[in-house]
Parts: sequence; C-alpha cells; structure tokens
Amino acid sequence: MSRAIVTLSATQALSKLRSKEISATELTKAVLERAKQVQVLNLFLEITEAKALEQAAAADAAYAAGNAGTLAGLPLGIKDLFCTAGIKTTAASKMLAPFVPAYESTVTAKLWAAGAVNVGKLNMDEFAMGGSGENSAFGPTRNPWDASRVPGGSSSGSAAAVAAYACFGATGSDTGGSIRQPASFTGTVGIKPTYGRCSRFGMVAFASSLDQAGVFARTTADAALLLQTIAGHDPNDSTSAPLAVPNWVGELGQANLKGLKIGLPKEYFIDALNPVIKDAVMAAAKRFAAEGAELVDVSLPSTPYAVAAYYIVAPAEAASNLARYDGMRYGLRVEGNGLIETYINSRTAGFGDEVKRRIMVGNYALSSGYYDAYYTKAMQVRTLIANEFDAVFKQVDVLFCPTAPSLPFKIGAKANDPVSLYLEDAFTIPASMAGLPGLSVPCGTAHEGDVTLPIGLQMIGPRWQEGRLLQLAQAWEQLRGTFTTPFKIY
Amino acid sequence: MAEISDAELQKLATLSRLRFEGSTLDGFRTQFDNILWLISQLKELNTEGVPPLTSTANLPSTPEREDKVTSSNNREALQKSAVKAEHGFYVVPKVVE
Repeated sequence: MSRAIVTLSATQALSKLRSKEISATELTKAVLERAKQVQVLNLFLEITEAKALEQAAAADAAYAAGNAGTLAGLPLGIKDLFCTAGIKTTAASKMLAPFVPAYESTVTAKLWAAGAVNVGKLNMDEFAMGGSGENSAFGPTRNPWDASRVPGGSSSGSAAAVAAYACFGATGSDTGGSIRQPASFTGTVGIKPTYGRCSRFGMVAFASSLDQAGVFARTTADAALLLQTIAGHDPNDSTSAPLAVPNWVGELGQANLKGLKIGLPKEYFIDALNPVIKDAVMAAAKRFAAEGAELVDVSLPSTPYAVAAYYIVAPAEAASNLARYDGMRYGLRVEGNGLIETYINSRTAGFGDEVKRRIMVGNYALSSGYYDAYYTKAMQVRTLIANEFDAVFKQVDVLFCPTAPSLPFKIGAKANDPVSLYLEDAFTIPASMAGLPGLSVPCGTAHEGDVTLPIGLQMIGPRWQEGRLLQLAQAWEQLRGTFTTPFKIY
Repeated sequence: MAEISDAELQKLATLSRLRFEGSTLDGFRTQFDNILWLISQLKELNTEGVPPLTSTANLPSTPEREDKVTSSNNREALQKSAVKAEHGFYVVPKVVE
C-alpha cells in the first residue's frame, strides 16, 4: 500500500484518475489494504472488497471509454444505516444483524451512479443513538488520534475511517450532531445540510423530523464535491425539498470576508466549555476579523433548553419509528409463548441499552397525561429556538461557535452516565432542532499529556446556505494552513 | 427530581414491548430518573401561546404521487430478509385459537 496514494485528498485522487496517472483498481486496492490495516480501530462492520474491486474495474472501463462519472473510482465508506441492496445493513444493532436490504438508499444510489467505489459499511452508534461510537452492538469505534479515546458519534466509523485514511470520504447522518461532533473529534470536515436537502429514502430512521444525511471528508473541497453528489429532491422522501442543487464546488473560492458579519452566540461560550477549545475558536474568528470580517456578539436565549427539548422530540420519534422492529417480517426474532412474548423477547434481545432508554423515554413523553407537559412543550421550545435563529440571521451572515464543549474523551468515561453524554451535543442540537445547515472544520489541536487531539470550529448558516458555509470553511483552511490527521499503524 | 414508580416503569416497558429485570431494572431506573430530571428543565420556560413546531420541512402540503405500479416492493426480493416466510407469506406466531 502506498501511503502517498491513500493520503491524497479526494479531489487530488480524482485528478490522478482522470489523467490516468493511477487506475481505479490500483487506488481501490491501496485503500482496501489501508482499511484492513486500521481495522483494529473497529471502523468497518463489513469491508466490501469484492464489490469495491468490481466497481473499480467498472470505473477503469468508464475512464477508458471516456464516460466516467464525477466520482468514478473514488473509494468511499458508507455509514451502516444507509441501505445497500444485497449488502448487510445493520445500523450497528443486533436487531438488524441479519438484514440484507432489497433496495438501495437514494444517497448511496447517487454515489454509485457517479462512479464511486464502496469500501464498506461503517460502524456507528446503534440506530444513530449516541455521541461516542460506544453504543454499537459490534464494539466501540476507536479514535485514530488516540485509540484509547472515542471518535464521537453517532457516525463514529465514518469520521474515524476518513481521518485514518481508510477511505477518501464517507456518508454520515446527523440528527442532533452525529456528523459535526465526530468530525470535530477526528479532525475531519463534516457537513450536515439543511433538513430536506438530501433524501432520507433508504436511511434507517431514528427521528424523522431531524434526521439528515451529510458527508465527511478531509478537506472542504472534498466535502463540497460529495455533498453536491448526494443532495437533491427525491420523490421517494416526502420531506425532501424540491430545490435545485447549487454548484457548490464551482462556488468555492468566492467567499468575500470583507464586511462579512460573523455572529458569536454567547450561549455557546459558557463556563462548561473547555477553555482550550474556546481559545481556538475565538482565534479563528479573530483571524477572519483580521481579513475584514465583523465579529458580532449575539444571543440565542433558548439554547440552554435545546438539549432537554431534543431528548423529548428525538426519543418520541424514535419510539414510534422503532415500533416496526417486532421480529415478524425481518431482523431478529426470539420466539416466545405467543405473539406478545415473541415481540418482547425479540426487542429485549435485539436492542441495546441506549436504544431501550430512548424508546422508554419517548413512550413516556408521548403517554396520556404527559403528552402536553413534555412533547407539546418540547415542540414549542423548538419554535422558540427556530425563531431565535431567524432573528439572529437578520443581523449576521453566519454563526461561529465550538462544535463540541470537550475534547475526545476516553472510551468508557461516560458509559454509565447518559445525561453527561447527552450534554456533549449541547452545541450541535440547536441547529438540528431548527433544521439549519451546520459544518465542522478543524481549527487547531490541544494536548492532553503527550496526546494531540483535534478541535472543531462549527459554522451554522441560514436555511439552504450550505454554499456559504463551504466557502467560509474553505477560506478558513487557507487562513489556517495545512491540517492533517495522523497517519499511524496501530 | 422527577421520579417514576416501579409500577409505572413496568407498565411502560410492557407497552414498549421490552423487559427489564433484576439488576438491569435498578440500573435503568437511575438513568431514567436522571433523564426525566433533564427533560423536566423545560418546565422553567414560559411557552404560553407559542405554537409547536412539528417539522422544519416547510412544505405547503404532503406531496402526492401517481397511484401506479412500480418495480419497488417486489415481494420475492423483500421476503429474502424475512425471518420466516412460506408460499409468499410471513409466518408469525399463532394469534387465533
């Protein structure tokens, strides 16, 4: 395996494929070798080697014939909640361990249509419920920066595999921060677009009013390319927006920092924020100011209530969505004495602890007598959060804030304290609740002992302004200078 | 702190088609109470007259599509993942005596 090949950016790799400097098969073999080498981090639930080599051969034929797609021959990883026809899709749950979908998710179908190569299905928190990657039924994912730490979650394998050079980019899904927080924890670029920008068709559902597909990459240009490929209206998803996809790749480099108004929401710079992270984010904002941007202090007063509201809305939707796992048609069935006992046996054996907690909380919040006190109240708070963002975006063009309040922590450190883990999402949940696009881009590193760990800068924009976020993240990469994730053998 | 009684918890588990027993139940109880404490913080916030936001999709109405046969939902393909299927039907535990 050539380190020089696997550490290219996606954009560079595609350029070498187009110029026939390397073949898709050569590139794919190098990535597969790297993926197996770093599998000790538990990145992939399945490496789809035969499929990858078949797709690589097809890409080579397409290059030879002159009809190669925009991503032809590019090896990518897929979060294991995107259905892939004929390839196991488990959502990292025992419940779906035997499940082989008959159909393809829209997001992955678009990637394959553009010629991308499937390296494999990536580990994650079970049913996307978690912020550390530890809730997988198939073992925790480890952080490539320090294998004793979590890579964040729920898209743990996606973030870690991109950071560890086991693929050039990956799909993820973000319900309350599941792309942005692991991107921050692994030093990758992660973007969650506006709710409705990407189709949810074929994505295993967690909380349908919040779930949104997005991507991970090692550079903003790569993230723009991947997002542009998977975005767009899909009649198979009733919440998919009937909007054309802008040319985000073509618009890169157009950011005008002079006069740009950057909002710094005070509720995101609180005492609970690690001061090292605060300093890194503020330093980035000041670097923009030095280029002519204006820093504006703003307030989003309902922010402290966003986590509580989210942990009503998301579990309530999850409890409903996961009612389908009854062991009757697909997934796990554990026989019992009669129908009801079979349901109970199957669900008790099939779901992990966090999933059970959320189902219980969700059903509690939706139950008669509590519905208004919890569920309706949470939806009202959601309105307040969305309205406050709307008001702030009349004053500023973009918000800058930390992606996560803390650095990647040790595996097991928060295992028995779900609430402390929930609070890790405090800075990513509000944008999710309002359906806004958010992006995390590396803005520095911190040191804990002899360990170096990445820090993420979060940019939040108005609805449908993914292009603005991508332009600003790329402008930041130029101001910041090169940032690379460590290339290690574990 | 909000707390839930054992009876309420067991009823909720049964309705959720889940089972908690012994030490699993004790551990679960503590965490569930902590989560209830977290979500109960919303009570501090005045939301009188605020309409609930059910979706940020902003669609004027649920889109409709033509009622025509498509190639999806192919029974044979779908039943390849079935736990148990015979003659094109799912086999489930007996529900009628």
